[in-house]
Amino acid sequence: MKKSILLTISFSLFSFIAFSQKIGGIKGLIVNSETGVGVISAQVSVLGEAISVTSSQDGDFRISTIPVGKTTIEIVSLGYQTLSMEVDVAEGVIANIGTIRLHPIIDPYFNDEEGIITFDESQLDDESGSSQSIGNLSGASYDVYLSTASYAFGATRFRIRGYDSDFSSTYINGINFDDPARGYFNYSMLGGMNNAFRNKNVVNGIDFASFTFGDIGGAVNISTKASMFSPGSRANIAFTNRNYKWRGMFTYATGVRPDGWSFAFSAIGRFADEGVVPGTFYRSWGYFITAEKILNDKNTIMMTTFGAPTQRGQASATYEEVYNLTSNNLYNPNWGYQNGKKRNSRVVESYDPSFILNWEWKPDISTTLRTGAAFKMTNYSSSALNWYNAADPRPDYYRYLPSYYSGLFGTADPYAQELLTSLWENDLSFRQIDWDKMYQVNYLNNWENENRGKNLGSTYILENRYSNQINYMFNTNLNKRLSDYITLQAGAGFKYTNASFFKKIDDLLGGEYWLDIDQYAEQDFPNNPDILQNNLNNPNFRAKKGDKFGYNYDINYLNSNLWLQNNFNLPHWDAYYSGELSYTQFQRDGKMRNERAPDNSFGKSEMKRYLNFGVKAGATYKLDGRNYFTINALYETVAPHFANAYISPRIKDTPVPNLKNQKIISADITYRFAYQKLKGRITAFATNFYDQTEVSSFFHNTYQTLVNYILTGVRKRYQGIELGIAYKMTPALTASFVGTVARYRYVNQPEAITNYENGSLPDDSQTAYLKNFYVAGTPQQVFNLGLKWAAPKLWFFDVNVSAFDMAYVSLSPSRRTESAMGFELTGNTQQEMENNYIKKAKEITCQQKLNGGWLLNASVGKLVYLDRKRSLNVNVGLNNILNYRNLQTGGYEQGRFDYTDYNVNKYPNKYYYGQGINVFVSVGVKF
Amino acid sequence: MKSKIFKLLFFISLIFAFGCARDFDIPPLDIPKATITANTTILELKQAFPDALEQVGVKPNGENYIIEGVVIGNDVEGNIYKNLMIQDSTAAITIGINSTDINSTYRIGQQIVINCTGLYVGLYNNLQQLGYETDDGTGITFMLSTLFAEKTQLNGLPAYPIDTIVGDIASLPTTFPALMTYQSQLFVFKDVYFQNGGVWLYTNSGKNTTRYIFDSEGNKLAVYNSSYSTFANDTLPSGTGNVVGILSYFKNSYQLLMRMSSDAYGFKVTD
Repeated sequence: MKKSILLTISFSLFSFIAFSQKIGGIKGLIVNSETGVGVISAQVSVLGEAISVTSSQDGDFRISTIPVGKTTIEIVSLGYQTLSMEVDVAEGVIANIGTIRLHPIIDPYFNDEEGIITFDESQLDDESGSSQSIGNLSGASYDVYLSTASYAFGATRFRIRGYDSDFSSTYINGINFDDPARGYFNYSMLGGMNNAFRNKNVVNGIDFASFTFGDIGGAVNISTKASMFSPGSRANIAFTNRNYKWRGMFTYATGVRPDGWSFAFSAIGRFADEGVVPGTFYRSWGYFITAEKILNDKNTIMMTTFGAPTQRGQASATYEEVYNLTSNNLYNPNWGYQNGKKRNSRVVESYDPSFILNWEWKPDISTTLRTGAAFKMTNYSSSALNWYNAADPRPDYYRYLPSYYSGLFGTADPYAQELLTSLWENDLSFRQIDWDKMYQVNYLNNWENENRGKNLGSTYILENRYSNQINYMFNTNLNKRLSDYITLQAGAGFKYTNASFFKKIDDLLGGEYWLDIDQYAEQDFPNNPDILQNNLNNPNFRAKKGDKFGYNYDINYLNSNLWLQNNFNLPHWDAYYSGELSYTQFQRDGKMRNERAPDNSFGKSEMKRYLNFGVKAGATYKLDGRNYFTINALYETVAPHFANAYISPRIKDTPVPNLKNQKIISADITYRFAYQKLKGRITAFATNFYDQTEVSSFFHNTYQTLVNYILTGVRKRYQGIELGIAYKMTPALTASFVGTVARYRYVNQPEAITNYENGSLPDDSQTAYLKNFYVAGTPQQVFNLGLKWAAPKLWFFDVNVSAFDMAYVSLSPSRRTESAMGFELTGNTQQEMENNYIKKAKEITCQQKLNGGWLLNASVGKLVYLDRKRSLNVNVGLNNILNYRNLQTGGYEQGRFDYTDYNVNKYPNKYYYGQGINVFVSVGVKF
Repeated sequence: MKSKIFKLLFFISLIFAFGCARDFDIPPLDIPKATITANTTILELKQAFPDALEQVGVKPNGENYIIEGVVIGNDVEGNIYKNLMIQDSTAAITIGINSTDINSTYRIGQQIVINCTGLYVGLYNNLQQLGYETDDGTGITFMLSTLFAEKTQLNGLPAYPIDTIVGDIASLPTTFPALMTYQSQLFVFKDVYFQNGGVWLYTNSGKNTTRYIFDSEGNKLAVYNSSYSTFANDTLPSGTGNVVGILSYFKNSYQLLMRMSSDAYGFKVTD
């Protein structure tokens, strides 16, 4: 492909020379007049000649075959005012015509100046983190689908193309900031500072990127270049009734100063004493500082630092029965009263301070080398109750529910059912955690110590589970023009992570100490005092507040990668190919010698090493300036993430057996159109995954142990169609329609390994019959119909409807194994037995669909110019105006299974519900 | 002026960002005080409801049956299962409660007051106890722990003195009504030895096991041990010593339930 193009060009060149026509050329840099950022893929044509080139990822272009003399060039780019200019071409010279500024057309439809997009990353916070930070993909201008999806579908944890978050990458100033433990980007580290992180280069799906090889779920590069921020101050205060109630945000930028320095600064605070979900609270603030210095016309250096310390109280999913008993789909089992005040047992604290240094070198107009180094700390802890030889303090424990006495667990007891139902429905303190009682039990232990000479520790404590990291990253990225039509992108990156996992005593709840033993082991091996030890190096340790206990291990991780890409931009064709090579290694370093695995828990484990590669290619046929057809294809192998690489890392370093690189094949085809009134695209995509590994854990009541469930060799297929259309009915009124119809499924019967952490049973291997079951979480069918009106006098109105369907609960593979089919066959004839078997099997294996529905949203905004420089903007947004409360935003099957009666109702599913009507009011000023 | 307003706006937003740090009030040690008072002794309750199963109604004078006692036995070391035993000056009684963590709240030495009206008294394999009726109404079983909590009040800290009655195996009565003052009481049997003491364990191959103690006259008494107790795999003490326990009853004979491993004490090997 490359050779033939070079040949073609050379031939044309020679034929020109052969005809002894005199030619010269021009080169230049096209930038956005407001931000100074290079304009990507602007079309530069020479009027009167059939010559047209495309600007590169940095905005530079070159035409080297223009006939000598005065000629006019026209520069066109979607979203900018077309520019015509006259150039004087000299023979044999490719003149540098310098920087050309294109003025962006501010289309209120695509412009979110004041951070009006109300997507809230705090809604993403679930333990599994499987929801995608689709808000990160907002700001993808002129892609109706992406800009709508980011706010319209956030209510249901929608994931674009269904991919888990580890399949999209997030870069900041060219450095990869994904968390290596699971491959996700921790969106909350940005602290909700939308203004600070608004300059994004968004790559959709498997399109090519200038800063990375990319991933199937797309990539984002956030740029914090201080010079890009429009100078001045912005302050914004908002009120909402969601996870937080108040938000104050302030941003200030200097723009480029005469001495070559630029600065920008942002601060934010978000606060709620109690969010919309009872017992939750939110306390977060954030800071962002960036500085840039233009050393000379070839060199720029930058420094950025930011962080967002956050503390919040969480909610948890619970059973349908509990939501019904409390008549509240937002019921939260995690809180209770302590001395009259609400206290939440599941508090998350996080703070990811980051520090980035960048150097940009432009030796000439068509070469840019960007190099960066970054340091990032992750401080993450999550609290939870723990108890020893005592009643479960959680109010929604299944034995405290009326259903426990319904006959599922022994004989039915209607009196008990009645009594419990009445307590659940009427006694508010019965439904929640009784903190005072836990203190009282611990106080009685202290009293017995004093008066009876006993030596008891706390029966109940609050522990804090930490996942901390120290990351060092380095990245360099080259963008170079090889000819008028060919550019080269290349990069190399490096990341080192030291991750620490441990837990500490947060609160002894009035007691004296906590004995650090394995409380589950005590039941299984009662006469062997040694087997109780979590740490043989410090047996029977009495932990006090702030002490590490239970488990303590590090994982040391290293990754380096190299990628190369060639882009060809011809008048009617764009094409590229790209390749990446990467090396990953990690090992576990145990800090405690656990009695369950005395020989392989303490010290460094074997180093796991993975070599991976990826190739992709694509082409776009430009029918005319308005119709584009694109096709992309990718094949890559992906190393396992270390969070899923060990069977039970808290106890031992045994790796997940058969842990392999994942393999991914993906392709998409898009038709994009951009007319005066009608813009949009339709895309069909398909991705096949091979050799995936899934790990889940649950507590097994019968064996009284934690069970780790590992699926290996998993194959999945994701395919679907995306459509996004915007129709400008009048210059001020735009209607849009966005939708996805997709199916994300398991397509094989992977091997399932059950590991009993207390060793009471050996590891067991079975086939999991998962074929054709759905991947959980995201709705597979979504639509949004919207109307935006930019009314006179700077009023903005928006009304839209979002509909969601086909989201499914997360599967428990144990329900789809042969042992789950061990029920007794009933029937008199062979045929009857077969039919009854199928009926019962379907009942057990059925994967429940979550409640879908539709939501009506609207917003009103007003912009007031106080004077030429200062403006005030007010925005009121109402989501879910019809107060639909039955939208299930997530759910999962329990790991436990009833192997006695094979009754799926014994351990029912748990669900999360979406909020009813919610409001977002913001007032901002620019000055 | 306008710039001042904007600065104010900024500072206001900061105030809300730094919510006051919350320090939780630590609840004080609660010394409970019961508000109901006993009007019936445990022996009176047992005598009023001697049948295999009967619901406790109201007293002839219209009051509820309210008893009071001190906890002498619970599941603290796992040997006693879903039972609570209380004594007063007249007798003791076993209470069946469907909970696997009775001892956190009802500790040995804790005085409690129970409003028994509405509950059931009955015989479980001839052991008289307080509980609830089974679903088919044919026998007595454990009551819901929430129900027990509603009916019971704690009084003071678990510091009440307990009477341990010195027992004589030969003179334990075996018929009602004499049984009523013996069943569920706290007894100590002195100078006894375990059959196969020093050799056998308290329980055998993970099952609930009956062991026997013999006094100097050769009278024997069953000692019933649960495989879930913390001392299930300990060796029976050798020699002669004292054994404390709840004097329980099963079908036609007594069985002693140790509450904790230290209930067997003072054992010495004599030649």
